[in-house]
Amino acid sequence: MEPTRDITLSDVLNRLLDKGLVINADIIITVAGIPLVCVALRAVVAGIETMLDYGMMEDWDRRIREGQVK
Amino acid sequence: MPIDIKEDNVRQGLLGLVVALTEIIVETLKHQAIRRMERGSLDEEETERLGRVLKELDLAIEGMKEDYGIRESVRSVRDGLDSALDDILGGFISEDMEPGDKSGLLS
Amino acid sequence: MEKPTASAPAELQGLRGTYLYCVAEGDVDPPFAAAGLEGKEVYAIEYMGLVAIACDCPPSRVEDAARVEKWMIAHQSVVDKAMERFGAVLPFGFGRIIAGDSGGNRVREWLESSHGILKRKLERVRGKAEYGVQVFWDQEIMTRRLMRDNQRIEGLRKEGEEKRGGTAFMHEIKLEKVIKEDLAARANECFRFLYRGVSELCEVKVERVYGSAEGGRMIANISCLLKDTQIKALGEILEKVNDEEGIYVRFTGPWPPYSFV
Repeated sequence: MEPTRDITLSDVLNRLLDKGLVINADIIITVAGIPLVCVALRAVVAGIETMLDYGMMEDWDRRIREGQVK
Repeated sequence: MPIDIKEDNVRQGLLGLVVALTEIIVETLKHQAIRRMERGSLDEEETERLGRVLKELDLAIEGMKEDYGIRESVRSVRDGLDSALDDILGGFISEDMEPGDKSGLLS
Repeated sequence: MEKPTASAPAELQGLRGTYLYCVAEGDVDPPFAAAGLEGKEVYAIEYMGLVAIACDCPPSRVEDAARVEKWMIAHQSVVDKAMERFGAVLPFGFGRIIAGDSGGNRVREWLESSHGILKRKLERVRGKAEYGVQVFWDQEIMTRRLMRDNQRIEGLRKEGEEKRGGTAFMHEIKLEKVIKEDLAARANECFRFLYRGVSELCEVKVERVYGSAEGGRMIANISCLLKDTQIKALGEILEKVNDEEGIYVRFTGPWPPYSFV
């Protein structure tokens, strides 16, 4: 049996979203909106509908105001 | 892992939830009944009676799923519950088959 | 309530960012070039032989799933190209951005402070790539096969034919239970065979995500770190598993080693 490069979005999501090198959390931000949309993407792939929660955006806003984003 | 109720119609979703839970309870009853039967603590008459009751329950549940068109909804609730349980128990395959993750060597 | 848009929020306007793809080792002459997210030019940030592949990327708020999907594909493509160029890479997950104007300096500082660890990680994956193995199980086919081939179950079934009423139903329940248990044991056996065979060959990571596809429900989902020369041996093990009726193996790769960093 040989490996195929015929991959699905699910394959890509499962690698790109949960894995990879870790860098000192202090100096990194993940672009706001990306994790939220990624949750929606992953949920769609898994066949469940998830609503983008405005509450999560509010939390992001608050964190910026509190200077947690450098 | 949230249990997601797909239908827009909340009543449908609620029915699906109720029937799914009932189904699970009946499955537990069936399981218990078999254990008793195997242990030999049921005589012929009790076996017969228990069997009839369980069959009635089974048919009633199937009937509800059919009549209310909630098969999908029930399936979805049960899958959600299975997922939630999987999350807790660590996957479809039992834990004792997965030796410790060796990828933490250099992290 | 303001709806978020695909642009820099007021607080972050004018701010710059450095988007990270992966870390590699090697010579950046000739320069490594690729098109990253939004077609942005990718460049290398060096420190003492280590190279971080990055591009400029201002922080922004995005709701468009299709756009993010494109970004992820772009990310994977850059890491792939880097792997082709440099051999071993340590990929970042999606969406790692250092906010601010001095991303380049921050990265260099990090390369310095983590130099030893990064070099060790690179050695671990050098000459190898990640491969994904998933095993799917068709419940219907496996049940049918069990009913056909298993003596005990065939016997139980025949026993049931002579019963009536409630007693027959009890027997039916028992039969269902035995079938379920036997199938579970078979699935476990299949996983064990796969796991043992593969872990003798290479490093294996068992994934926590399971799903289903046309072939049925997933009963195994593992990532393997393999050299080219080991692919054939792994292929042979997978062939054996796939040969069984009702069981399907999906073998993907090569991937950059996301699961082994």
